[in-house]
Formats: sequence, C-alpha cells, structure tokens
Amino acid sequence: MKGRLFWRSFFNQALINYRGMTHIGILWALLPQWKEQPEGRQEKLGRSFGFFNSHPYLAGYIIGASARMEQDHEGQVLERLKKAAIPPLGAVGDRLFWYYLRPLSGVLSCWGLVLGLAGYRRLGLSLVIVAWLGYNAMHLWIRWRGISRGMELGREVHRDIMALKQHPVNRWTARAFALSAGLFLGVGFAHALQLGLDGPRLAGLGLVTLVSWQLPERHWALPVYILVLAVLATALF
Amino acid sequence: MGLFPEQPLLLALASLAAALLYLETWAIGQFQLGRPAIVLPLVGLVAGQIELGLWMGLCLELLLLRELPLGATSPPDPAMGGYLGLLVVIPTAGNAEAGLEWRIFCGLLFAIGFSYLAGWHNHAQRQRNTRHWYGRFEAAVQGDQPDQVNKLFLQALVGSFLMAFGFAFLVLALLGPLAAWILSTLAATELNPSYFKWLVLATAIGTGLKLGTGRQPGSLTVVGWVAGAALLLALEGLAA
Repeated sequence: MKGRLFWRSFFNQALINYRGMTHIGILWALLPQWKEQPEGRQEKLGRSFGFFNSHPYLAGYIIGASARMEQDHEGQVLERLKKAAIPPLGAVGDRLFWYYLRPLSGVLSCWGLVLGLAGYRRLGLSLVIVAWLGYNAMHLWIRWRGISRGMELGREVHRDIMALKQHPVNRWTARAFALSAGLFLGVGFAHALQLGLDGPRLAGLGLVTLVSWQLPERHWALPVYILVLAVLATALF
Repeated sequence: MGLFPEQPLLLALASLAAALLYLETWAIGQFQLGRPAIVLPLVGLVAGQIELGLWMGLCLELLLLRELPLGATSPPDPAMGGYLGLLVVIPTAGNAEAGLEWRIFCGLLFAIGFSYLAGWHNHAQRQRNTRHWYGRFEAAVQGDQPDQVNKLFLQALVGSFLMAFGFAFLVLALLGPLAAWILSTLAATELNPSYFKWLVLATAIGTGLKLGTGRQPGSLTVVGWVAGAALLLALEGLAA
C-alpha cells in the first residue's frame, strides 16, 4: 500500500487548478484505497477532493495521514489537519527545496557547465549528474518519509512536519549554497581577469552584477533589463 | 529561414519532446530533469553544437533561478523556454553569417522571451483545469464514481500533454522562422555580440545567487568569493 501511494504521489500536481489547487492529485493518489473500502466512500472521496496545496514533494504527509485517519474513522479531524498543514508544508518545502537545494544543485551544475566550456567535458558532465542525483536523493527521501510518517502517525503527523522545520539539513543546505555561490562568483571574477577584458568591460561586468543584485522582483524587470543590456552591449562594445 | 517548417517530422518530434518536458517539469514527478543546465547541453550535444548548449544552459539556469513556483504563481518556465529558444537557433548554424556569438546572443534573447511565453502557457493549463475539469471531477465525486474519477484523470492528463504539444508546435512553426530571420538580419550588421553573453552571465550571477543569501551577500558567500578568486589566480600563477 505504501509503495502504491508513493508512486501515485508523483502525480499530485498533475491537475493543479485555481479552485482546489492540488486536490485532484491527492484524490487520485488515494483512489485505489477508497475503491477497496466501500463503507462511507462518498464522504472519503469528498474529503480527499477538498482544497489542498503544499510543496509538491511534501504532499506525501497528507496522503499518508489521510490513508491512516480514514481507516481510523477520523474524517472530521483529517479535514482540520489538512487545513492546518497547508502553511507549514508549503513553508518547509519552499524553503528547503526552492530556496536552498534547487539553487545549490543549480550552482553545482553550472560549475559542471563551466568545466565543460573549459574543455573538461567528462568532469563537467559528472558534476552535473552528481548535482542532479544529490537533489533527487533528497526529493525521494522526503516523499517516502512523508508517506511513511503520515501512515504511521496519523493525526500526530504535524509533530514530524514541525520537526522537519527544525531539521539541521535546512541550515547545512543554506550554508553549502552560500559557499558554492561565493566560490562561483570568485572564480568567475578571476576568470574575467584572466581573459584580459579591458577596464571598461570589466567595470561593466561588475556594475551589471551589482545592479542586477538589486533588480526589482517583478516579472517585467528581468526581460526589460536584458533587452537594455543587449542594445548597450552591441552598440557600445 | 529555419529548419522546422521544411521538416514537419522533426518539428513534431521536437514538440513531442517539449510536451514531455512540460509534464516532467510541472505535472509528473518534478525530478528537475528539464532544467536548462541539463537539457540544453544535451540538446546542443545531439545537434553537434555543444558550446551553444553549454552557454545557454549556464546563463539560463542562473538567470531564472529566482523565478520560483510558489503557491499559485506561474513563473517564467526556463525549461520549456530554453529548449525552444535553443531549437530555433540551432538550424541557423548553416548560415555563414550567423556565427556562434550571434547564435548565443539570439538564443539567449529568444529563450528568455519564450520562458515568459511558457509561463503564460502554464497559467492557461491551470485555467483549463479549473474551467473544464473541476466540475466534472466534482460530479464524479458526488456521484461516488471512483472509476469515473480515474478515467477523467487520464483524459485530463492526455489533454495537458496535447496542449503543451500544440503550444511548442505553434512556437516552433510560427516564431521559429521569424527568429531565424531576426538572427540573420542582425548577423549581417557590423555590430559585435560577443560581450553580451558575459553581461547576461553577470546578470544571472547577480539575480540568481542572491537566492538563499538574501539581498546582501552573507559571510559564507564572501569567504567563498575570496577563496575562489584566490584559488584560480594561484593556480594560474603556478601554471605560469
């Protein structure tokens, strides 16, 4: 049963929509379960169909807890738990994966691409693969852990979610990302010096890095900025 | 004027791969296989233009790192955008005027534009799910029909795939030739595009790397910065 829930949890964002967000994915993950338990099935289907949104990798907590709590006839508590779990699941997942792990894996992959451009293709490719595998090891671990702990703890699953928030992996990933980002900047800077870029070009690169660091986080800002750079780069240099 | 309109089979295959890429990025699994740092060098390698793929992958990976799929947002999609942007410039390699520098220049510009277009496509997919599928699922749930839910789920998934296929097909078929024309027009001028990729990389570093480190660089970033620069310069000194 755990394996089936795990496999089906990969589809939890398949039909994301603006009314119920990822609820159809949750419903589909639990569907075989409800088919095997005809007693009170309509209510179970209805509860699984209720609004739900979280980070996609952490939805397993609610899938596992739903399977357990419906078995224990705790449907009413489950509804309250789902509502309460939305903010922490979103916050923990966004912070760990979108803010730290994905950028960390992205920067490591970029190291690989830089090595590839420098002619070390095999080494570069290996680094890209290692970064991807490392990211997905965490991804798969958290999915499996969510379903396991959800099924094990049922209504008490919120304790594990809170423990995850304090898990040292958050801190270490953030540090690793900050360090690798700094290294990337430093090597890039030294490489620009080695390239023998003249003063104005080097100053241009520094200025652009600093300005883009403070670029407003609006959708239009980045493409407009890049277009301006394209015009300036071709016209002035 | 681009390769795709003359080769419908290739166009269909490229669109098929784009639809699979969309599903992997947004709907199923989300293993991050479609990231620019992975897909673009791979496509470049297959097309025999690895350097183009490496440069585009490097810049786009960092440039759109800050665009996060938080909550209900549909941010620009560098996976789909980068892939389509690379595909429209690859066929211009046969054009003697469109050298590697111009292909990187235009590839990056098109990829950024297409990433925003792909973000809109993702939003349209979600709207379609809301308007077209929500009510059907609701009826199946209220009618206690799990088999119907299963059937609807598979139908909706095929629908998402076809919509992504259509989107990629239209972009490649309609905008591909236009992009190729823009590239050859620009390449015929006296302008020099070689500095642009460095500026994009600098922008990518500025916008992408502040993620997780906040608006100001943290102490570890500064330590890494100094260590990285010192290491490379020391290695250079040793080699000399």
